[in-house]
Amino acid sequence: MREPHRSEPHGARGRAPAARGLKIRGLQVRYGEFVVVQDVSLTVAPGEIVALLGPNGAGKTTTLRAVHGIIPPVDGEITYEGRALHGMPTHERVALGLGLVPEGRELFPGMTVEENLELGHVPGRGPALADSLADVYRLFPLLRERRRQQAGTLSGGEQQMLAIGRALMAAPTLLMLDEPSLGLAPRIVDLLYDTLRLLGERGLALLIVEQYVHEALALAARGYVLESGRIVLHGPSAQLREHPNLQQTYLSV
Amino acid sequence: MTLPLFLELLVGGLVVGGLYALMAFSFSLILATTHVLNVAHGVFMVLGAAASTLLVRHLGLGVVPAFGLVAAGFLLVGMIFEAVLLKPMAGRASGEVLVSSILVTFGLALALEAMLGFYWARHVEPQPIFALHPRISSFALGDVVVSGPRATVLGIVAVVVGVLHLLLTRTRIGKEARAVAQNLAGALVIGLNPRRVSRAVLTIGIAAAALSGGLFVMAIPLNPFEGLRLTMIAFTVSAAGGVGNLPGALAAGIALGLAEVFTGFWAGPIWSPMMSLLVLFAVLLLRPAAILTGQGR
Amino acid sequence: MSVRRALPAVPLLLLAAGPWILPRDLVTALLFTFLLITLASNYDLLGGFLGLYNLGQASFFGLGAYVTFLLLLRVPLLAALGPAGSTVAALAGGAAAAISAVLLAYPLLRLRGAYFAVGTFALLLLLRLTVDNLPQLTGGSHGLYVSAQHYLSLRAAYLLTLSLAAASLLLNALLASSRLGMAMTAVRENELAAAAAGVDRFRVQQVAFVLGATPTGLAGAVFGLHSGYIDVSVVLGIERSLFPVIAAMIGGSGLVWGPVVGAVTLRAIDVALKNYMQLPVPAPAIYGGILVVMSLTMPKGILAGLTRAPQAAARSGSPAPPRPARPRTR
Repeated sequence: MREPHRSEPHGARGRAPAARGLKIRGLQVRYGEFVVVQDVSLTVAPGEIVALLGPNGAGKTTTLRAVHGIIPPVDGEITYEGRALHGMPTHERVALGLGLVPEGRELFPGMTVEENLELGHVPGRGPALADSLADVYRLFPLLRERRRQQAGTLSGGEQQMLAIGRALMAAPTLLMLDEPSLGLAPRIVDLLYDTLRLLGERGLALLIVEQYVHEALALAARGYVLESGRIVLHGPSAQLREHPNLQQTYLSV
Repeated sequence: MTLPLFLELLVGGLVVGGLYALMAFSFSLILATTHVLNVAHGVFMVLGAAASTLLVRHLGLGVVPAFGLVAAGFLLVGMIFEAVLLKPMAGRASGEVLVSSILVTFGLALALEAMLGFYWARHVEPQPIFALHPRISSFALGDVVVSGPRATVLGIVAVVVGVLHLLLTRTRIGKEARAVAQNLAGALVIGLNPRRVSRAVLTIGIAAAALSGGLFVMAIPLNPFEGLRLTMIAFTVSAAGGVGNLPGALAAGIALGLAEVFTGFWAGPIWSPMMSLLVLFAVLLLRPAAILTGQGR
Repeated sequence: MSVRRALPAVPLLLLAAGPWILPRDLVTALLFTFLLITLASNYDLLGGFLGLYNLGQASFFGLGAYVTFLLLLRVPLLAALGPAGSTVAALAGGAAAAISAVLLAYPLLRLRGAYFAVGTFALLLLLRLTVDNLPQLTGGSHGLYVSAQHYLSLRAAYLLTLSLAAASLLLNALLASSRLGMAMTAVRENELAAAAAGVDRFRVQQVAFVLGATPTGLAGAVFGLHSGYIDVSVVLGIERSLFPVIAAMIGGSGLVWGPVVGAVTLRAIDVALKNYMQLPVPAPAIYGGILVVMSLTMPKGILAGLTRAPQAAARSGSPAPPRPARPRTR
């Protein structure tokens, strides 16, 4: 099942499919001599939830970084909402609607929760600052309680919520999440995925990178499996769950 | 030592220390947010001192309007400085910026210093000394006589530090600067524009350096060739206080100011500049982690 | 030794004949060029090969000069020995530079990158202040004089500085191809990997530090004995420290011949500025300007720009062309 396998993207009905959403074609990324991403092509339609799976070092994080403009690709094409992203700095991509919750969260540890959130807001984009803040606090009531606390003093789960909240402040239309469940207790992971499901229902497109595939495939409509920098499998989540290779390699983990 | 003498030295140390803190803070904010180690920082101070002296002594302006003009003028200088010297380095890895910024600003420091000394000696006075002597009467606090100009310096320093603090904690650009200093990767991911931040920080930082130079010569006269020594002090204080940390710079600056004043009293004034260099070595050797990562909060 | 490798010996012999065939002015100009080549290649031993920018190279120059002078002035036996005494004192000056480098390596080499540059520059300032503040010992701002019997003739000084310059270049050339040189490159390129391969970073850097300090110290001694007078601004001057950096940068940092190209260029500019041109700006402003322009536009130097040899890029310690920030993981 190497051929592209289109699933019905929910929330994108009736729109011109060609130009909308995220499209990656033939992406190649290197760190020096070391080729991390060989050849990755994938799409995320508006409002669609897609999982990007694969073992450690397969190039998942690198793919997200390339989409977000943190590392320049050597080859390939990335477009979002019909705009070619080549050479575009990250802050312009954020203004275009791309959001990334990075590996390691990358919060500002010496600043308060609220300051972290405020910094995520892009003046002139989306709702006003106060409205965006209120919305994030509705989604994560815990963050409101802790809003005067320094971000560095939060627990792992709270930090992950803050990282997601901070990315939501920019009113993204596609949110990329890099291993959101890493290092979190199972109960917190469930909570987190409930929130992500809610965001998906609101029409936010999600591209989720995970090593632990159960939750991701339960949420996503489709999935891609990355190995040594190449897409080796992709299809609807239900199909991927049943796939013998995937069963063997990852689901047993 | 008598108590009044001690208190007098204490006030002197506070004034010097406050000035050190101010200049060190702008230096360290630039270092923390842009990874530019501005060797010319002290030279900008000296230029600010020279400009203030020129405005007050030779054009007859009051001290406060002169400072206003100097600060405004050097906002422009800072903008040009950023555009011409630092823009070409944008996008380089932070370690490379650090190293090339040293060479660039070192060259700039020498060029500016030489030109200032040369032209001042030619056109203004043969033995250039920058100093302001505003007629502000001294007052007595108990047994201690506090010099008016020094008290004014202390007051203005407090105001400027307060303004900088508000800028950093209350404004969007100030918060962006702190964010970039704390976690550049995080700042990039959420779409902050590092160029916008570095432009703002360098513009304000250079203006603050020039202003602190003007304030400096109300307390201590300077000659055109003391810029590099002042940069070393700025480096020392910011390294000791933690790079990018305002309260830390304040504490370290005042500690160093006091140390210098008391060293000068006991060992002779020629030894006080040495004090700061010895402290610099101590800081470099004892706190390398705080300097390297900027995690000195 | 192959013919090709022996080739530099031919111009060296020609240069050695200089004092007998060239006009006096040119001999003096060449002497100062050799001094600068010595300091620049000594600087580049660390700056180019290890990526450690020593902004205080003049510290060792001043140390060599001051120790030589103090020995001649304070030790009657050496003063009585005449030229032999001068030789002993000059060697002691070189030794003082070497020993202080051994010791200073312990604190200074704990610093990396920009902090090493700051530390070495602070060391220079500290030395300047110390000399200024101890006038009973060092003459303070009045400087020190030695008696005429210790003066080095122009010819002798010329030959000695030529030898020092040649020795410094040979040292860099040998290091570039030796095991230690490779260890140095390894340390610069990747400290962790070098450590994993069994390279002792500190030892390698310490050896380089001492090797880069000794000829500079001897050069300070020769310079002092030739002029008969030293003071802070002459032997511990900021420019004395800066010129080697500029020369190495102009020529091409990390290349054996880079300092030669840079030093000759810089001395030519200096002579032109001082003798033939009436510029409205002071000379240090020009050098500062050159440093600014060079580091912004040609961070790899003239030689690298001309040859475009692949190893030039690999050996240069100067910043690489713009490239994105290194990833923090994987």
